[in-house]
Amino acid sequence: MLEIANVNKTFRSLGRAKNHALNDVSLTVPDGAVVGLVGESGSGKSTLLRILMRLEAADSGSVLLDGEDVLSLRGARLKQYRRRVQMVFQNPMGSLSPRRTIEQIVAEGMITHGLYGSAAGRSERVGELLELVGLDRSAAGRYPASFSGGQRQRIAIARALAVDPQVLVCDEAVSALDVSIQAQILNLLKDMHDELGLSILFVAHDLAVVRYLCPYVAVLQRGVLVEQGRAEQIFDAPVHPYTRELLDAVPVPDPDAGWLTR
Amino acid sequence: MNEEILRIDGLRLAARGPDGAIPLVHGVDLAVRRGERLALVGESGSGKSITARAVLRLDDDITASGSIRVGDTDVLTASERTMRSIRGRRVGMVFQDPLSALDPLVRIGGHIEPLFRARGMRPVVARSETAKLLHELGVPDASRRAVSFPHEFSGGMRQRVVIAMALAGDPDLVIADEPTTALDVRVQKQVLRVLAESTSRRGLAVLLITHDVGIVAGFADRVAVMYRGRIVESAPTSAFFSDARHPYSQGLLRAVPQLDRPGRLLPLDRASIPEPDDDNSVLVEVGQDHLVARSALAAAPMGAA
Repeated sequence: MLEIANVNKTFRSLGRAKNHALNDVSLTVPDGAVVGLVGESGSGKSTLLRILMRLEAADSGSVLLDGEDVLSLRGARLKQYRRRVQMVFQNPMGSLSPRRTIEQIVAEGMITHGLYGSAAGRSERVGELLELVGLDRSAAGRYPASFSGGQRQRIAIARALAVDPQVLVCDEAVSALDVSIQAQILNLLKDMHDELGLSILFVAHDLAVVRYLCPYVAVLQRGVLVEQGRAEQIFDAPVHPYTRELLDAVPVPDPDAGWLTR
Repeated sequence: MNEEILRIDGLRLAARGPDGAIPLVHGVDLAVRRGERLALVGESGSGKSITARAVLRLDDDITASGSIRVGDTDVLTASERTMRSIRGRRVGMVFQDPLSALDPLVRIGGHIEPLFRARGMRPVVARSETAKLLHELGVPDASRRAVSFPHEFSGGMRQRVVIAMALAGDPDLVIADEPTTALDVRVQKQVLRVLAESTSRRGLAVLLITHDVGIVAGFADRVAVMYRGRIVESAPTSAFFSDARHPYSQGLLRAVPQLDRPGRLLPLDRASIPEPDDDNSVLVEVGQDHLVARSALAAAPMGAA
């Protein structure tokens, strides 16, 4: 279980007022749950992820993974944590090294963490992972440039799964993809969750996508979690005016809905 | 009302590659009537953006054949001087990324006033027209904000400035290329609403390029779907949503997650989409103003009625 409790983060820049990027944020991702975190640009969702991934220090508050204090981890324990929590980034064009083969990309984490012993063992595992995410084993020898955006996102997911993580953190993982590809990747994440029992923290600005994937949803506005709850509650009976405003702005693919003029 | 502001016939576009021309658009026919809002839909690489950009001849590394007429001007053979009287004057353009469409060293007013001046207005009139236009587009405190620089504006406000630039030349047609893709949902809705209101107030035609079928439903009168460099279907918006005929259109509609439609998404099955070629892409009329590529009728005899 991943527990984020009372996290605060303030940025200061010269001549400006303090920017309270995260204000007492608390959010729990139970084992095997899929939690959606929704927010617009500037809401603090990236800052929260950076703190979660230990790329940024929090001013106060705590993050616990199975009761272990994440924010004070160092050395070997931090390395272990970074294996257990894996990330899938927004842009699959930028997150894969163009000069390494798919096998090298997917196997790198296994080597770092000493998994699957021999090179042959890793190679076999890479093949399995590629099949798991819906690619052909022969993809292993090729370079990212020969894959489309959707295929690259599959590779990024295979890389994240390669080290047997407990939590998958997806940062706008489908927002750079065309809608037809988006559906494939959403279904893949759904399947990975169902088959592997992964917990997923899914950060996105597209509420329709979040509704599709996440049974539990939290809404972040300017550093404050203004509403969180079961998806039906958030989407069908939102309480906070900001949540309502966000929902109202989602384009409705029905010409009779009068979405734009409503 | 039926006057065609823009008419594209048999447009072929190719990029110059190291080993010769790379064909990108293979014979597109498209018309936009006065006051009409047409959405051009398709995914990245389908050719929708370069088709729209060709209307203003913005890419000089693209070779074009066929014809593009703006009013009675043939864009493909027009002189550069004629093109300058079309760009911004008869056709306004709204680009996707407002930050790169604005010069960081030029004040907001400095982006818009020259367009009024080009219409023969005195500087003081151009300045007050600029403030009036920005105010109409929902920029608060417009006359004071006109002396700000682009970086002092939020994304949504910047896009209003870009829309102002597209409107200031008093065009007949506005081309908007993914104008809200870079914006948050709430701002997206505000900006689209502003674009819809300001263009309908002036009776302007809009060619909106988007990949979002939700936006199509809310904004457009008519839809043209582009797939692999060809238009595979064009229909009035209501017919498109109730009765899309081409497998690609149908797949596109099914692949979009919707707030009120649970159940597993059906990703587009490319194997079910006939590969478009010159022969099977001939458009056939299947309803009032509803055209679909011939290939769709062969692949789905049920829908051919």
